[in-house]
Amino acid sequence: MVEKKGSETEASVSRAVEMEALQRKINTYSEMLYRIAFLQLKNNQDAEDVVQETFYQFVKRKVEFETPEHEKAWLIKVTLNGCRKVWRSAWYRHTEVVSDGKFPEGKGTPGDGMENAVLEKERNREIMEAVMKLPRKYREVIHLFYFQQLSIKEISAITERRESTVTSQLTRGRELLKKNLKEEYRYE
Amino acid sequence: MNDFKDCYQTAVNDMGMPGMKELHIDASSCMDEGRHNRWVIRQMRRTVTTAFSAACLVFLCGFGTVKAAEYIGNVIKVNEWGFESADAATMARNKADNTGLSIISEEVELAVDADAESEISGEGEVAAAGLQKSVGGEEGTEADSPLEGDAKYGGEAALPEAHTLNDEVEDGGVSQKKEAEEEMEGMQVSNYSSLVEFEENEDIIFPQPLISVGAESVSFTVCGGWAMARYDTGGKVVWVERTDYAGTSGHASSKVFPGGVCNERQYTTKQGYTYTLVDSVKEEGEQLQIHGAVTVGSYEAYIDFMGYTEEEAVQVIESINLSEYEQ
Repeated sequence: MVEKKGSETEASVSRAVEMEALQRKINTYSEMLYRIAFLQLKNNQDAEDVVQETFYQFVKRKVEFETPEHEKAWLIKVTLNGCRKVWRSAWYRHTEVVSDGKFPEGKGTPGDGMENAVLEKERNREIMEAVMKLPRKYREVIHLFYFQQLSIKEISAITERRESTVTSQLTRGRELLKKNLKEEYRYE
Repeated sequence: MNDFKDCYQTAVNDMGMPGMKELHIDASSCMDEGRHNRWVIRQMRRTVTTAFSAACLVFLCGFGTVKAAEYIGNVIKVNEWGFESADAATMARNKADNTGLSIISEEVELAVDADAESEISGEGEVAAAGLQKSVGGEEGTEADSPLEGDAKYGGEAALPEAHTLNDEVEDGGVSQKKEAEEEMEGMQVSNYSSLVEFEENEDIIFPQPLISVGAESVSFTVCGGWAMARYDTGGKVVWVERTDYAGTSGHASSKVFPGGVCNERQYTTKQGYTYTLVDSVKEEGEQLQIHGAVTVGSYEAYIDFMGYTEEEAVQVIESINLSEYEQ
């Protein structure tokens, strides 16, 4: 009787520990994954579902990761695969997300002059609009390269595309951005 | 020049994605089996919807193809006076608006030379001649038949031009008639007095019945896409005619027999082609006349028998290889 109670306590402790570990992972990665998913799907509900599903797979599969980078790459890959499952359906492709066209106000930079803050906000808005207008495959690569700062090799491994394909998609994405952005930027 | 990487990172951190809401997920919701199952079911439902939509699309495309084929195909119907034929679309439209044909029909005398007239007419009581515009007849022609003036052919454009044409005919009937006459006169009519002569001079598809070999007299008349053959054997006569509507945008015509027709029936040949057969309404003592019509591909073929019994007529019909029209 005492043994049974003891094992139950152990199980609940173990579960609590597991939940706590998962919550830590969620806190660390969820925003990044949600951004990637939203960038792909442009839909809050679907993006949230994909992120939740990614963490569900994370718990179920109990994959052992050698490094935190490996773990991050695995989570991005599962998220992108989840996105593909959603947008592959013709139903999704014909469902336009209704956007009110309003961007968040933005945090601004404390101490900046009013004029600079307005200009920066305008520039940020323009960049985000340009990126969101890119075709999905270019948007994905641009975000992983410039925001997640992944190398072409890493992007290639995550997206399961050849490095040459990733390079050409990156180049085409940059060309489109150059065309759509008023301001000139340095792309590397 | 600003660095895109820095600017993009600033933009994402500062503004977030346009339309993106804040995310609030916790470990328990991620591990919830019910949520996972709902997600899987939702994905399956979308897949099924997609598959169903695709299936519908395939079905509709297939149906459309069939309807398109029907549109191109000819339809022959029997009315109390004879045969009525048209492409499916025109037939449907004419059914809805019966006045169409009568408005545009007009008499146009055929420029058949005297020889041809005498060759064709003979003792022809059967209304089996008359020329029809091979191009599908943009305006109707009611031909004064070289036989007895019994055959009437009305042609009508099947496409929207028909309306314009109707208006033109109504507004300026005289000039339209004149134009039609000129056009018909411009068409070359060729006559041949034997099968050999016909085959030497014409390169058209015109499957012949077996009687074309043993007949006492054989004659052919060809005008554009229309051709007719007459076979005389022992006082009995068979007329076979065919019109090719390939390359036309639509047509409508009719073949009228004096006294009208009755006893409509179908006969399917061993090759699988179905003739619509009718009998001419005749007074007592007059020879039986059987008329048949069939449509194969872009062709319409008619056959008229005078003095033939039903069995003999069927034998002649069976001897015509209609599959040649499909080659």
